[in-house]
Amino acid sequence: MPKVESGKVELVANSDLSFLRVATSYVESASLAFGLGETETLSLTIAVEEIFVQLCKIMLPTDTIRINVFGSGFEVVLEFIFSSHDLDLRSFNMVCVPDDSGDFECNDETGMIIASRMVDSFSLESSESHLKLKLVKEKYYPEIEHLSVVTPAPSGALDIREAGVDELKELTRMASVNYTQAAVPESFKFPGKVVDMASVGYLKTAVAKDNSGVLAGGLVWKSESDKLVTFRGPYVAPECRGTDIASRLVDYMLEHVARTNALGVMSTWPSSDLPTQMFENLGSQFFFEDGRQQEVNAYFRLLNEDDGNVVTVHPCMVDFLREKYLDLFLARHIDTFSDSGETRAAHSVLSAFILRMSNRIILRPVIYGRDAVENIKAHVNFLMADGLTNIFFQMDLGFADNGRFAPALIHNSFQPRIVVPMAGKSDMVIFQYIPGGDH
Amino acid sequence: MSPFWRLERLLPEYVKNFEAYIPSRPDAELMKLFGCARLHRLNNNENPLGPSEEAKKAIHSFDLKKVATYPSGDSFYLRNRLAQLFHKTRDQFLVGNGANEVIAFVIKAFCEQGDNIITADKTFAVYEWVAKFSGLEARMAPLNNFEFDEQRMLDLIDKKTKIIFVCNPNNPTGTFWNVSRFKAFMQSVGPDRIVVLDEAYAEFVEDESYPDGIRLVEEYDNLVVFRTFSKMYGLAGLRIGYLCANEQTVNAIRKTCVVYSVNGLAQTAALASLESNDHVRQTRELMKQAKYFLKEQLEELSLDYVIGEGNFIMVKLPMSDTLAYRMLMKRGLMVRTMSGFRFPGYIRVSISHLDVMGELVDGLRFILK
Repeated sequence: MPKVESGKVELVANSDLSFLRVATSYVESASLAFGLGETETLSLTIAVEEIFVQLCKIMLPTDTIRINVFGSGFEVVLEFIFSSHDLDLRSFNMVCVPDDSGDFECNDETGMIIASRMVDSFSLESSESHLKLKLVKEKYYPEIEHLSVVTPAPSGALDIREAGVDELKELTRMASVNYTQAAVPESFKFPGKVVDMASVGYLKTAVAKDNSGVLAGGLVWKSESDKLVTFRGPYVAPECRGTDIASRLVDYMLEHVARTNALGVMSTWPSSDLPTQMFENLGSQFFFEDGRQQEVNAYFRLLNEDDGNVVTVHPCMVDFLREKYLDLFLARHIDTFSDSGETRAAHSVLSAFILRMSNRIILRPVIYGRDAVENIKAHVNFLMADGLTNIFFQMDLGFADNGRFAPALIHNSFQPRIVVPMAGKSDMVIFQYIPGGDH
Repeated sequence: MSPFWRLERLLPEYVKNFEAYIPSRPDAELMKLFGCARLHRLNNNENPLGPSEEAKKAIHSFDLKKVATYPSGDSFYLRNRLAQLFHKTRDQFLVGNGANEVIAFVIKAFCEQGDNIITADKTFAVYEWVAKFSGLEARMAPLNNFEFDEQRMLDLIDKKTKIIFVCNPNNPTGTFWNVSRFKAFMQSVGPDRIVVLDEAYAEFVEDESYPDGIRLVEEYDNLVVFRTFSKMYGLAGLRIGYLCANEQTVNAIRKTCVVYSVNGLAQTAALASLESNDHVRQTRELMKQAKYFLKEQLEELSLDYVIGEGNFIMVKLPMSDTLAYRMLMKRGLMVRTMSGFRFPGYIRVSISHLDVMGELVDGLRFILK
């Protein structure tokens, strides 16, 4: 794999509008240096301007904002990091939820919304005392229309190994030609991007080849988080269907992730050649597009021995979880919490992780508040109006505040679909918004 | 800055990137969570017969006054007895808090930043772990047909290679190098690197071609042999193991050895274990019977298995090993999943009494339904 330029630069500035030009110029220069094209750089600079202005409105001019720019070959990642003390965090909701007090200004288009439209992914992460806004802008790559070409059939013994540049391009073609669109990642339309992703180690690869170098199959995977690896494939050449290639590719991946930090491996868009017996069926999710819906099973396996756990959830989740835990043979003691009239924050905050290209949004709870029902509703209305139809909500059962959103989600036509064991601090429940679903 | 951020800056990258090993919870907690009335631990290759009668007697008569005082800091009497048994000097032995501790002694003694160690990809993980969280490179040679592959290991050697770890017999495959194969390997490695021969399961091996590492120490100055009291001698709970090498090598390793890490009860029990005549024979007999039984049953279930020397067997399942683990746990059977050993889909089972092996077979039959 060729070396791809990567690196990091950092700027610390006061949240004062007089530094706006400094921030935008810095991001512009860094993005160009990391190989982003002029058009993409301009989009990112506009996003920076919107966010910086918004932060200046809610922070004191003496407060500081750290802006990190990371280049990783195929994308530029921008982070705004700042202290969350004394901030009205409602500003970080993608949409504004007005309240009766009238003490909070609601604009139709917040800087956050404008910024989110300028980039390929946008998210908010919170720690105890800091917030991190993360924007990702990808490099432009030419889209390749994969044509079906006649290739010789693989024969004899097969060797499974990491893919080289040409092998990876060949894999993107083979998968695109032989599998449904849903089974192949969007990035496979851009082989150059896939090669760059592999070069920087973002994407890991395996190909099966015969002695004469003919491709028999392949698989790609990446770290979704510290604890979870996701994969696409396995893809098997038509002549090799029904052989053990798919299992060998999966084994190769499992051997490579076995002694890493990852606790689990998952595929939410498996290919038809996935050896499902090697995985656990977590249940299904829907994909909505152009008025059609497709139901897809999520397959998962833990890499470690799960010795059981205690989860504390809202009572409305108990039946769903009990059934799921029984199906998955997971030892879980389920405790419930209930609202005993204690004072709660008035306003909730959600982080929206927007993946525009794949029409997918993952909402994550930041703060629970009494307006959770209205806030979720406002997010759904805004996202649907923006053409984003696949809306998910990730609930980490390791955080009690996450669980408090359950009734508000169900009220807003979200359904708990799957439980991913130990994908967060504890198990992760994935809810999905089902348009027209029952309240 | 939150305290968390400062911590991040203090941690070396190689520690930050290392995932801590989480041991299993105590039996009572596991039984509560999995809803089982009893639990057979078949995951750590312990001896189902427990310690020898001699060791039990020594433990029962241990003078409680000794609990208030420090033990012998260098296991003086135990090393004396080992020297007598193996016709060596006391200073050719170093005793540690389990063989895991002596792995750390050796790595700390010989390796510095930039160095590497070599072992197999599918073997006991602690060599790799200690190297990685010490900031060293761990180079792994793939096994060949479940055996350590000498050529692949030799191919990985470079100027920065300090130690080569050979697990003989290998945990978890039970394969071993015979004397001539091991000697040929030592010849190829030459005198410039330490070769560690981990013989944690040596006492289970009856094959005459199996090399006695402790005897070979006289032939190779760079050979270090590990043994443990946790497996055959049934003292896993007391944590005691040792290494043997030539005096000069042991003196070097002693510099990184934490004295007083081996408690007095462990030293007393280990010393008594060495006096037992029957324990090894009885254990070997049980292993033979239980392995025979298991092989027959696994064949009936059409399950592939890998069985060799040692008190364990690897079974290939047509499903995720981590799911099988949970299903078996619900039935009170705790096995070791092999994904972490880079054998996805396999479980490793410690050989135990026939009735327990019978329960295991029933458990396997249940999960295959």
